[in-house]
Amino acid sequence: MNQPIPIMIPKGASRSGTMLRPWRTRGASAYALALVMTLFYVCVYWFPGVLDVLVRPLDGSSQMLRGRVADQWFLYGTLYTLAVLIMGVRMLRRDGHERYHRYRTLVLMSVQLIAAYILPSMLARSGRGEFYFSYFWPLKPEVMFPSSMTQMMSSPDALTAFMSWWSLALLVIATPLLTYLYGKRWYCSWVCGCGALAETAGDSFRHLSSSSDRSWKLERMIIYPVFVIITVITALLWYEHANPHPALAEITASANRIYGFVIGGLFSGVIGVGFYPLLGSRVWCRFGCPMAALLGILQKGASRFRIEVNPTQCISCGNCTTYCEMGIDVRSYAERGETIKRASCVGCGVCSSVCPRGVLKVTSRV
Amino acid sequence: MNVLIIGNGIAGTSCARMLRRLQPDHASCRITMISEEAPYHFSRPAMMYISTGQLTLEHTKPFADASWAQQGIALMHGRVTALDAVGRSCTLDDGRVLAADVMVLATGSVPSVPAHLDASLRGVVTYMQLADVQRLNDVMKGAHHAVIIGGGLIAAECAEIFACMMEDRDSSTITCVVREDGFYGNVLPDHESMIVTEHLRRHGVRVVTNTEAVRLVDVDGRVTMVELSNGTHLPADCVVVATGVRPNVELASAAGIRCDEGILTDASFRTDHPGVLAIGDCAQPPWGVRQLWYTGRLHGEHAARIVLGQAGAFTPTTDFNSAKFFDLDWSTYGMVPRSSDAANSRLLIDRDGVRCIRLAHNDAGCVVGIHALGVRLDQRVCEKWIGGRVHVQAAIADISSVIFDAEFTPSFNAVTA
Ligand SMILES: Cc1cc2nc3c(=O)[nH]c(=O)nc-3n(C[C@H](O)[C@H](O)[C@H](O)COP(=O)(O)OP(=O)(O)OC[C@H]3O[C@@H](n4cnc5c(N)ncnc54)[C@H](O)[C@@H]3O)c2cc1C
Ligand code: SF4
Repeated sequence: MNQPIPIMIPKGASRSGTMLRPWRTRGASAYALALVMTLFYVCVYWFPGVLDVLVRPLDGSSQMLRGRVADQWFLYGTLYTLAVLIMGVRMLRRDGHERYHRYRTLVLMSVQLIAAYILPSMLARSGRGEFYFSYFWPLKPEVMFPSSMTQMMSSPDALTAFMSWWSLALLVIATPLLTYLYGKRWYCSWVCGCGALAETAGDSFRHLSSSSDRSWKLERMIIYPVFVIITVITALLWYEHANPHPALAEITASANRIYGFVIGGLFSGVIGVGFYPLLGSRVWCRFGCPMAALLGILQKGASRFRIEVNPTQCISCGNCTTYCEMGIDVRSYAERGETIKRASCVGCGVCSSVCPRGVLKVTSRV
Repeated sequence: MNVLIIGNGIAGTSCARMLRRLQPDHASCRITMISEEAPYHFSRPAMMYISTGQLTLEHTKPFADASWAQQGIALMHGRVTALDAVGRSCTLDDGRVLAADVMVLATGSVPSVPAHLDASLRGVVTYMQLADVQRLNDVMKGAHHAVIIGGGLIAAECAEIFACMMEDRDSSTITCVVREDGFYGNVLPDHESMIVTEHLRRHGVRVVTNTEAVRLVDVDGRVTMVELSNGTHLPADCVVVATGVRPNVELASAAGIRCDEGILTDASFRTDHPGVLAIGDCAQPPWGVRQLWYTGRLHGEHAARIVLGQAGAFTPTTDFNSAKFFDLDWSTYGMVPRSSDAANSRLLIDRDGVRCIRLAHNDAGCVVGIHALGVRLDQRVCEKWIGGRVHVQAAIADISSVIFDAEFTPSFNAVTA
């Protein structure tokens, strides 16, 4: 028994030192970082001219990928993808010894690189307009709006028609089916681009999500109304499409503009990512994302997904609650030995990795 | 009724909160909980995560500070200096005297330091109380030679703290002095103990086995070396004495309550003085002292029912325990004797040579205990097997059902059975 033991056992997800770093615990450097990121978002959305110095150097690669000069969105997409890839490698080094994290991080990185960067660029190059195979209604509501839907479906170009069928199929078939089988994680922590950034670049800030009851209440008070609003806007657009009505068209269009500004720009970008170092990595996913709301309802109501709990093993250490990026008070369930079924859980599996007593198991097995 | 609970660890806290749940009327059941250690209950087993900067004290508190007032549980931060077990009152260090109808002693454990080791030297600490987190942090600063005396769970945690936190890790040494053949050898069977020892070594911890520390050598009151039973000396500028814990009976025995190793109680946690109960680490019920987190919780919850006259004797559940040796999970259910061998247990070792599951059985072949390293066990299945007297062969055939590992974890493939 003295031969060397092969290093095959899991290395454990140590997050030691997290609470000792000011940039990860709302110190001055965290505020500085948040300010820089927030300003960047403000510029991307509303003052793209300021970013010209950063955009121009990308003209070459933009020409190559998209067949046109770069703009602020190309800069944004490039930086975003780089962040996911570089910080994804960091995530792999930290947690990649556990296969669940290795696989899901690799999938997130690939989806971001291929479906959200290379493919849209190539589509743009072929004159079809950028299309993201990894974003669906209601996260990207435009794809279900009558204007784009009818246009794309009746397009003589087979690929364009396919893209609109793809959007539709993902909404009505894949979303309920995959959520039933695997829970909302099939999207939120394995596919989604916002999730990809949160799980890679945002991983350093996951412990900043508040787990108070108050924030849970706030979550429910915001996320479901956002979902209702975008559903109503989409429905009105279709109604108006079937029964043309100029005054209604006017109102819906401006409602949609406001939604785009407040939810699409301010919430998902400026606060959602800019405030990572202050509020944690999943503010948008938790409080704002209508897709998360929809998947959450399905997860809670019609899914096999849950976190199983070893009934009395919990030592109440708080690692799970602290490192839950969605601010779920996992410990409060674990202490009671109660199986966890929460609408907001994105199934990242980190609670189970950081639990020192093997209490938690993320699963969707029957 | 006026209930006074001394100690706000898991036992005292569970008792207080269960009392309130069963008796929501604040006026008819007044609950006071006293502790000298920390104003609010925190998770003691989480202390090491405060030391490694993975958590803050705030994260280790299971209940929000405001919840205590909402629950009508009065908290007092102070030391109880004397008990009157007959008149049922206690005296605090500030001179106040508190009277009660029922007193619940939940005073926990204290480190058990051998008389020949002087833990008062500078550079020497124990690791039990919240204040020890700061103490350990202080002695660790600038230290290069950490020595941990003991080969148990607290020793393993301290080794991990050193491995994470020593400033000049590359030129530092971490040594565990262990009395047995291998780490945790007073609990683990030989094979498992060897795996753990090897595992600690792989993490850069020297494990000196079959050796005891006989003396701490100091210069001007500051520790410099640890003298070992084999006559050698280990250089040491930072020492943790982790040689075990014993029930904290000081207050009770001074008050004339009958104590042995712990505070003696009947199966309903009643001491020999009417209206005085003892629970958690400090208690010694008929089945013996249990110094574990979950037993503290169960004791506390049950004692609340006893106080309200809603329950009789406590029935101990299947024993279990779990811990981590760095990143190696360990858990056990039921009885797996240290001396387990081929005659009374079956050892399954995975192809990787590390992960293993041991099934202890009785003469009839029924599973009586399960033990796992590197594998997480499903408590419900373990209890079903042990409680249902499942035959060890049937359990081995169904071994995958007991595993509680994360999805995609390589399956457990036993090469030896
Ligand atoms: C580092 C460490 C790691 C551990 N890990 C685990 C683990 O993983 N799993 C497990 O099952 N167990 C573990 N334990 C053991 C577990 O923490 C104890 O079994 C449990 O805390 C006992 O709870 P208790 O309520 O009986 O006592 P305690 O938690 O010890 O609480 C007793 C309280 O009483 C107070 N008190 C005592 N005397 C007085 C007085 N005179 N006046 C006022 N207050 C007083 C003390 O200050 C203390 O706060 C660990 C222990 C340590 C030290
Ligand atoms: S479930 Fe695990 S991580 Fe969460 S509090 Fe309990 S022991 Fe700690």
